[in-house]
Amino acid sequence: MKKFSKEDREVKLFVGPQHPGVTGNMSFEITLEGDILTSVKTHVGYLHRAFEKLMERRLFIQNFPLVCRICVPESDTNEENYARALEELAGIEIPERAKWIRTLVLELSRLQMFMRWIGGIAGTMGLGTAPQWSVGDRDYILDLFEELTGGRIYHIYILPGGVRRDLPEGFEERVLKVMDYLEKKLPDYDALIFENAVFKKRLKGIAKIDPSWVEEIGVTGPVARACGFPFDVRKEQPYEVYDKLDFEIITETGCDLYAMAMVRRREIELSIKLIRQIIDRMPKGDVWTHLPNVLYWKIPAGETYVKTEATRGEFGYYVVTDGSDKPRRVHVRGVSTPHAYTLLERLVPGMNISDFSVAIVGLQTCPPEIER
Amino acid sequence: MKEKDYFLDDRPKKLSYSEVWEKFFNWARAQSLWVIAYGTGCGSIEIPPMVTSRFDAERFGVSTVGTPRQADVLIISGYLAVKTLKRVIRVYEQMQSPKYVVGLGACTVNGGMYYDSYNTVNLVDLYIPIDVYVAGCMPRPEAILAGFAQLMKKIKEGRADGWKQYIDNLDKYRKNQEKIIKNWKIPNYNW
Amino acid sequence: MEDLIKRLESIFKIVEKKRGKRDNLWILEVEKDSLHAVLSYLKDNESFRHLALISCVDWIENNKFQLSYILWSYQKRQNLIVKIFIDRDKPEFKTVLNLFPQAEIYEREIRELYGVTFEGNPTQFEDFVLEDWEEMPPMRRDFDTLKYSQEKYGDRDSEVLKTNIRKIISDYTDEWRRK
Repeated sequence: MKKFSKEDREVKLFVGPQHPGVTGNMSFEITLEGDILTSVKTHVGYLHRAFEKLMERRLFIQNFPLVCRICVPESDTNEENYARALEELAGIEIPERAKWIRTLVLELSRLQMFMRWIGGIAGTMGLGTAPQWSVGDRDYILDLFEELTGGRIYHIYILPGGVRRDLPEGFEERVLKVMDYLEKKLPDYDALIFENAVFKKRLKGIAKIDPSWVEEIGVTGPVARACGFPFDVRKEQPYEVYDKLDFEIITETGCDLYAMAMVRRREIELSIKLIRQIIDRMPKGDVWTHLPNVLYWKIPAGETYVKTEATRGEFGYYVVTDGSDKPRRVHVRGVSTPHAYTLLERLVPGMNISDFSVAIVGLQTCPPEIER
Repeated sequence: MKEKDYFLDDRPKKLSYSEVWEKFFNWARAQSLWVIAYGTGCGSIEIPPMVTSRFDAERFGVSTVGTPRQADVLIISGYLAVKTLKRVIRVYEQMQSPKYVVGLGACTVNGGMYYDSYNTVNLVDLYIPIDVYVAGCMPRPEAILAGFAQLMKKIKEGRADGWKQYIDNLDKYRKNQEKIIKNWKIPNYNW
Repeated sequence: MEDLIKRLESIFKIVEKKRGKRDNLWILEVEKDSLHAVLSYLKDNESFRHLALISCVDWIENNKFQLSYILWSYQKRQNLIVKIFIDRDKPEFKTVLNLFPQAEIYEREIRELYGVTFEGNPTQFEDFVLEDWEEMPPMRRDFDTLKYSQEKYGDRDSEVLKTNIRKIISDYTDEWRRK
């Protein structure tokens, strides 16, 4: 019988960009031996809109509609980062109430992203009921956003100097009502997904991360916390009012996709708890400070790096100004850049092809922030 | 294996029926529009809410499908980067006629806020015939559903003929596409 | 943090040191040749093990590229931006891949968008976000993105685009009129 060499046995397969198992518009070039993967190559650039170039051409204030479009599912993190960087460079202090409202918006945005992620991972595994539930429940949060800011996805709400407007009357009660509803719904989600035997079997032991990789590669967020590392920007470098809230960093020790899923599951509870705390302790007052005329607003030369905890990890903005009315350089640190490239390349050898798209969604790779 | 073995090089043909049959077909086509699951831009963030429990597009016969061979509708959800344009043309030509294209958002009309970006096309209609535009950034799920209602109406009236225009003016479209895509490795028409 | 800067100064030549506008941010400018030594000292001895980002800034008026290495220490909870300047006419530098594996992607991005090559990075010439790009690297300050867009994709004020858009609008208004 003819013996096949390794090259003959290997098959190259293109996954994406048009593929139902890929998150967003990105593609992977995988090499297979039987149904075991041997290597992967990530390709991005299908969503490259040259934000960083466009931002150098526009005034500081004109950039706000651009900034929120950098990471599509989680726009508030971008606005927060950009606004905070400008405030730091220009030396603007914002009112206390604006800080609390910002924190509330950021937590709501994290919460809606986690709900969407449940739909994503369950949809990849063929569990069709879960997306119907979680995306539907996410819409309650989007309705709150719509009431507060006027938009479902892009809010342009967090601006330098505070937030665009105060909370509407009775908004707090409506937020609490949605939180009560989501909390009541969580046991159902547990029964459907997180305690589901199929879900556990599909995720346990898959994409096992060596904990030594975490610091070496620069992995952050739930992926790092699933390996036992208490990395959370909200605690390490508290921004807005996170230093005044009581919470603990959530960690798991499984190092696999199930541990990551459980970190996110517990983060949902944490977000609900934090939102309750914020609404409980929110002071009264102004939400907006006086800014100079934004059309002629010049920010002194300087550079800074600010970061925010997005659902995927450390979302950073490196902003350089040169004293003119336009930013010199804005560089976005896409959270999942190391996840989608270096970490995935290390995880893939030996993985079964059926686990591949689950692993991509489990690591929460998000193409628009990798390529901007 | 030669690269050519994968493709059919013939130009696409239109089949013509009598007017009565055409009307009947159009009525039938409008009832079940299957959308290909390809999020080409940021507009795809509103597709999951549209097809799931709250807005439930399946009441209109709109549902998603994984492969271009079974799809009727391609949604261009927002801006098109040059790299995506190449893939979109590929996907569009693999879809079986009759096929319809829906453009979401301001960026598909004249570039929107990315009018000065070096990597996004300004008017998608020059490269792929678009049947229905949905305004907004982002268009809400209700707006997308209204766009689908409009598309159904257009199909029933026989006015959603982008795919026929594409066959008739293939050379013109190819010329526009080749102006942007430098390394054109795909055949004249890939079925 | 001041102790650390002092310790660094005793070993390496620091061209410029600056405190950021907030407490836990320091910006250091070092000499081009000593960057690898500084980074590996910071990584091994001072617990700055997390490389968050490598960024490039184009100072066209000084004919220089600025490369910034943004580091974070989980133990000290400090951000450190280490920056160097390289010649704009000869945009070359050495990779830091041996210290930080994720630098591969950041360097590939800078190679593509600024044209700075990194000696020793094996995958830097692969495509990152652009495909078949023939112009100058697009993120350089002298690349005019508006002109390029108008020439290649059509000016949004041009007649072709305007007639097309008018066609689209009239298509809709006809619809309304027929109602």
